[in-house]
Amino acid sequence: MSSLARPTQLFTGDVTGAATAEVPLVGMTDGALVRRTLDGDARAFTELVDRHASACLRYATRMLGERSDAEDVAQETFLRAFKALESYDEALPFRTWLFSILINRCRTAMTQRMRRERRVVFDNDALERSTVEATQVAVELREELAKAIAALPPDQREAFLLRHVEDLSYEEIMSVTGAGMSALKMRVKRACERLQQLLAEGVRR
Amino acid sequence: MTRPQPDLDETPLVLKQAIAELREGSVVPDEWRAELLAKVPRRRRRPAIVRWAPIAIAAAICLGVGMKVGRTRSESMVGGSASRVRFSIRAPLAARVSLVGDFDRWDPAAVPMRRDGDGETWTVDVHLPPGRHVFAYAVDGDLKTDPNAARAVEDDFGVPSSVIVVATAGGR
Repeated sequence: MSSLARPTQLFTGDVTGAATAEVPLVGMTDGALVRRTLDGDARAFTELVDRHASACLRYATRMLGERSDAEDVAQETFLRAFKALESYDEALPFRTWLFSILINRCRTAMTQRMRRERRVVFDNDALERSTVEATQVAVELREELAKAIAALPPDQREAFLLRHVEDLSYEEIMSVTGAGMSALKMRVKRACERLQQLLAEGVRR
Repeated sequence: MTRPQPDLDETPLVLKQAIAELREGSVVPDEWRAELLAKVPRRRRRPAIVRWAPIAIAAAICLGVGMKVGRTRSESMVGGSASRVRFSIRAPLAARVSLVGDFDRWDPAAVPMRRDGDGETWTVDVHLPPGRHVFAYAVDGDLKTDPNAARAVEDDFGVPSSVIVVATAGGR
């Protein structure tokens, strides 16, 4: 029988609003933000976007050579990451995990446009900055650099950008690309040699 | 996080300059950001404790220790196998509070608490069988222990939780 007139035990606690309403997210680790996102805190995912969007856009722009494609791919990456967030393992840095998605999206985007004429379009933001900050010579060098990057074979470009621009370790690159260590080192080495050659001689098309 | 720098010591200057240029961050356009965030679906508020619940439950079962009794005011146990227990917590700014524990599989949707007339206290009455129960409050997705109850040893497993012991009928 459970029709009881009054509780037999009483527990009381006290939780202040400070611990619940507007918890500062800035100092939190990515892992903590992922957990809060899974808890339903939309602000936490916004913070993750704000932390990693610039790097994702940078990599995608360098990899695809087309800013609008890069923006599409980066958005898709974040949306896929959001849906797959439950599978994220904190043993891996969040950025590395995010890049594993981004790399695949970039590869897919490149495959989809294989028959399209390769175009080299520059990062408009960088160009806008350059008109303010740099000389015309610097602009030309930047354009040459973009062309040189675009001229690299995709696998070399990918390995070079991940290692030297995004600062991923070879172990991390192995985990997100599936390539072996020796193959990755060879790709990076060849990319460096090729870039050096292109930048020294001017881009040949 | 400080990351090890790539092996650039022997990199030619022209390449170092190129890499420095490539490392410049891309500007994140406001419109792009707004469009992305608008596409992010709303995630149902579901505390991550669900992922830990099996661990907490297993710990409660396997360890069988920490049988401290929370500060109980029970004077009597009414007949039957279950006793009615009132849980109450003060959370004036919370939007949603629920009671979670081994008795509801740590499901924050199972036992929602109601805001009292004072606007600050959340309360729920539940029927619990005799024995030891590990519980916590899910306050807007965050687990809170009950300061007036004993802490569960399972805290070591990452789940902040409290303990209540419901006596058997007729017992103390």
